[in-house]
Amino acid sequence: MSEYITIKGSRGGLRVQILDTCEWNDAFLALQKQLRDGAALMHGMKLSLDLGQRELSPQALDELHEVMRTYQTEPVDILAESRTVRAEARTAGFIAKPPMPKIDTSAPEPTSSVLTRTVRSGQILRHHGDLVVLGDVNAGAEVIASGSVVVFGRVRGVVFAGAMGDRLAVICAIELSATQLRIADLRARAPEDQGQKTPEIASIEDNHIAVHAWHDYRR
Amino acid sequence: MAKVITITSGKGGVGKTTSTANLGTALAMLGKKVIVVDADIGLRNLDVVLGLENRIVYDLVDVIEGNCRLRQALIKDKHNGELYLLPAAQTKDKDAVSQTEMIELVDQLRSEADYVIIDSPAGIESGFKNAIAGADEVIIVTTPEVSAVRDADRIIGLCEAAGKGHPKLIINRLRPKMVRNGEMMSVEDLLQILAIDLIGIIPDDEAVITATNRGEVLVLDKASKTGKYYIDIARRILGENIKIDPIEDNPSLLERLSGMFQSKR
Repeated sequence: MSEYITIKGSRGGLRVQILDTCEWNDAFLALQKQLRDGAALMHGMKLSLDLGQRELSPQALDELHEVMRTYQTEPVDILAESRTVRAEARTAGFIAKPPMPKIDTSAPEPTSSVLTRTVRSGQILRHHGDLVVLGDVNAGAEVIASGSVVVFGRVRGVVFAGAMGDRLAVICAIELSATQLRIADLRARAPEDQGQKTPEIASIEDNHIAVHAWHDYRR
Repeated sequence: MAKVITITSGKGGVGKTTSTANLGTALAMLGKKVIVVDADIGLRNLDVVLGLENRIVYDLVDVIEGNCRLRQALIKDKHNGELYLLPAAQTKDKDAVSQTEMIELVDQLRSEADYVIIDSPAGIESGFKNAIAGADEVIIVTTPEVSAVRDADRIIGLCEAAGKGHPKLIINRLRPKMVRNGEMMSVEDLLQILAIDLIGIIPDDEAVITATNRGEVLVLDKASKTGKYYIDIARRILGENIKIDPIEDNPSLLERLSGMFQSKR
């Protein structure tokens, strides 16, 4: 993540806050990079862009709309203090709203979450932060999180941890027989032979994804 | 008011129609008034399996479009006076019906019977969505093959998303010998993956094919073991507490001998 933008998980999606005080160009480039790097997580999520008190030209808003359309499947909301910016954002094709009341900023930004369910084939679970799944992740299912993913069950599907680029994220499971593992920018395919039946942890080591039995994992 | 149960699977050819026909007949034999509905519009099959093909005048789409009254389209089974079929249209396709229309139709059927069993088409598209739209419960049929199980898993997720709760599972075409030899997924393997309640196991049985081709259903054959398994499922649908026993076949002499040698090692 960059100094120009911060991302918060909110009910029903992600809120991207753009620093009030920096140059728009810097923030805009940082935003594009984030959209590119975090595409797997952000692509299907509802985004709102919080511009705060920043004033933006109609031209810049058009440009922004163009970029958001390339990266996002869901419509993007613009949150802005300025009434003129909101009006122009609507002209550019956004849904514009006044910013939400300031959330208590002392709370940790990405949230941790525990989900009790079986993630089934065709289902995608997206989460900003660390995620614990109490249940199985079946073949054909995907779990994507910006933090680490812990599955208290069997993983047979695809798990993507550190989906916004965090290379320190790990994937743990009671039985890790994933079809594919992804951490940050790296990808690993399951070995052809049957996986271990003991709990395992996958993490990045020397620029590749390594899987260790939980008792061998260096803490 | 009838209970509405949809039989579905995701993958084609795993035994949805056979199960619908047998369960519908079994419930009727147990004294319930049953309507089986073929929701596979454009690929109608249930009438053939029940041997009622030549009695069709009106179909499901005719009822929805108002070309006939509901009772005119219901065909009485030739063996059982308590069983009726609402056939699918063969000359239309899935888009001929909407989910709202299907729910309205199902609500009309509720007052006509004790049980309405809907035979869903394969797939996850509009035909499937129509078939589960009006259902109170869903039963998933799968065979012990990875592809069928993967599709069943997907369908379970879709049923849960549609607010139909946890479906029940029928495992069809189990071959005990192959399971023993480790060549087929076992009931336990399947339940571990799908994590839903089992309502019955049906063995692989050639008699199903011959019965289907004759337009008869197996449950009518008192001597058929497979028919008995379907009747057990029907009893479980009625709320009876019948234990699900593992399917046994008779191991060949050779198998029993090799089993003896293995146990001595």
